[in-house]
Amino acid sequence: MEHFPKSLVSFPDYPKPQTRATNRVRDAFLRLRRNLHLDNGEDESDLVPDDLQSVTSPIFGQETFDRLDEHVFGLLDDSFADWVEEEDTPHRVCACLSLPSAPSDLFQRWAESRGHATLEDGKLDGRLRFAVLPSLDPLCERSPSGLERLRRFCEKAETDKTRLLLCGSTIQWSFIHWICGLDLLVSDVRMIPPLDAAALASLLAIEHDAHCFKSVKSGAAILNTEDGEFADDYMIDLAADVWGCPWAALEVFEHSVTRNVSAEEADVTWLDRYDWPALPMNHTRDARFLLHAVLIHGGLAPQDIANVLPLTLPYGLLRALKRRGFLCMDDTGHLRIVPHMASHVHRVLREAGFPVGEV
Amino acid sequence: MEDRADQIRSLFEDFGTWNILQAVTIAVLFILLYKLVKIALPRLAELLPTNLRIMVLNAVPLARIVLMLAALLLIIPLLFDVTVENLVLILGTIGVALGFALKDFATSAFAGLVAVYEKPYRSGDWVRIGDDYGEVIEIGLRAVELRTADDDVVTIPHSRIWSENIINSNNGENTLMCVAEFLIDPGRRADGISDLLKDVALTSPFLDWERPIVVVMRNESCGTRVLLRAYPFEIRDQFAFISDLTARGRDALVGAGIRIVRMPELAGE
Repeated sequence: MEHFPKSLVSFPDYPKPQTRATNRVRDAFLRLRRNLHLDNGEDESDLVPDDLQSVTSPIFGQETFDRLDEHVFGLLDDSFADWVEEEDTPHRVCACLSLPSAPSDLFQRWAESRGHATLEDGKLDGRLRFAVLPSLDPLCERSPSGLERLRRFCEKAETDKTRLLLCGSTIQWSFIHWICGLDLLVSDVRMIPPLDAAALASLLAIEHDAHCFKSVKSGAAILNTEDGEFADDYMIDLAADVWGCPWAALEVFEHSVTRNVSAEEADVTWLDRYDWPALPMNHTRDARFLLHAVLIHGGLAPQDIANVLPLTLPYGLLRALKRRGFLCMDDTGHLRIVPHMASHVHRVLREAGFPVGEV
Repeated sequence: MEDRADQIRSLFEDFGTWNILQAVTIAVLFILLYKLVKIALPRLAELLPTNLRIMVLNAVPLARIVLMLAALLLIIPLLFDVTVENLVLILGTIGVALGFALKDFATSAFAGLVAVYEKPYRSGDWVRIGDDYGEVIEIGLRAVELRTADDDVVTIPHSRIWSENIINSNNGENTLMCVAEFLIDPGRRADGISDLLKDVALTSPFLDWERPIVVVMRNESCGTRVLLRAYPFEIRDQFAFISDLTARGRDALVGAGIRIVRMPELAGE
């Protein structure tokens, strides 16, 4: 796959894809307009047909996701396979992080597909030679008992002989780093690399090579390039919006398409810029605290909210955040940030001054 | 003597009704513009990222000075025939007037200018002046307004910066040190108390992760006073943060079998 990154990147040096400076100014202006309730959403190209309909069926099939997994699993193998097999190494604990918008079961699936032992419950088993902690969720409970559990884990990780790969999201890693210094045990912290606009374009082309995607704003074909420059900034903006997370990019892309229903242009799909939702008005403070807690915990049971937030949340806030697409309930009944919203939530929290870590 | 009279006559040469009307219109327009800035900028500040909030709030007193100077530059030539001699005369007259009639006002106004330059307090800062502690909500021409934790607005003349210490808790930053205090029974070993309270701070949702958490203990006649010091990431959450630290800290201490000294016991003693 052309333009795809060839290796994992170092955690503090994660190269977030950037959009153009002019687009950043435009985005800041649009956000301000939205905050001032001046945004009426009338900014469409005259080229856009009037008979567009929203697409409800997914435009990406399993093939795109399988190829993406294959690529990422390959990067993980390249980085860690030798280390896992090495007989004698001073590096007993390593970490591999992903953005919070990556699938929560990504590392679990990789470990299972490679036959590595996993520690789903966060409890170390000293009999294992190598184990993967596929998620930092069990170690990220913002309560004194959660801290106690984390410290026990650190103690055991220091004394056990098990070679350990810790996997999780960047914000969880930052939280752990600040509260207990688990990072002191870790030799190397790598990250799933970002996909830039060109790499995302080749990801889209896996299933839609001959298809034409056009921007509602400019009317230009978004995957067309001339002298290496995109005809439209859509892909550049998309990569910057999701910080290069391919899974989030695919999801945002799915949410942005409207297909032409007229027969003449049946192979044209129009894309609008994704309209990131706003927090419920008058409850933004409570909403931010709740989203911050969920982001740190990974999955947070609704009945545990009171234990980790000393705030009386207004009735209906959870439902409102679910309705607006910020939160969802996973199979185990835990609240989670909707994956593709994670970068947006991160941005909202950072602007409000919340501690959200380095990436 | 005649020269002096001529000077004064020439000074007021343009002092006609039309000019006065123009001057009044300019003054009213600039006052309205300042009122607009005073309303709009704090609202805008609330919509911007936190790191820009205090910067935008501080544009209000600066805007006042700029607008006031601009208004004066437009009004003075309308009313007075400005020459070097006249300027000296005007300044002399103003000096005498301020010196006698408006001494206190002038002192405060000048201190206000110094305050804008030296920044002992800025809009959005939490300051203590004398016994008053609160958030600076407005820096006016003569006085600064503080909103206290009890929601009282205290007006304090700028001239107090000449004679008093101004304690600024955050000094333009968006955080400040918060302290939760506990008075505990001294008849117990102090092992673990510090870690217990640090964990309370570490698990607070208001905590700024990047700032230090410090526990200070001090022996007093009635017990050991324990101070838990930490920083919230948002200055406006300081009281919620202190309440959270106090409530959970007290529960944690009691849960660990540490006796909190109660006031009735002290009164009984």
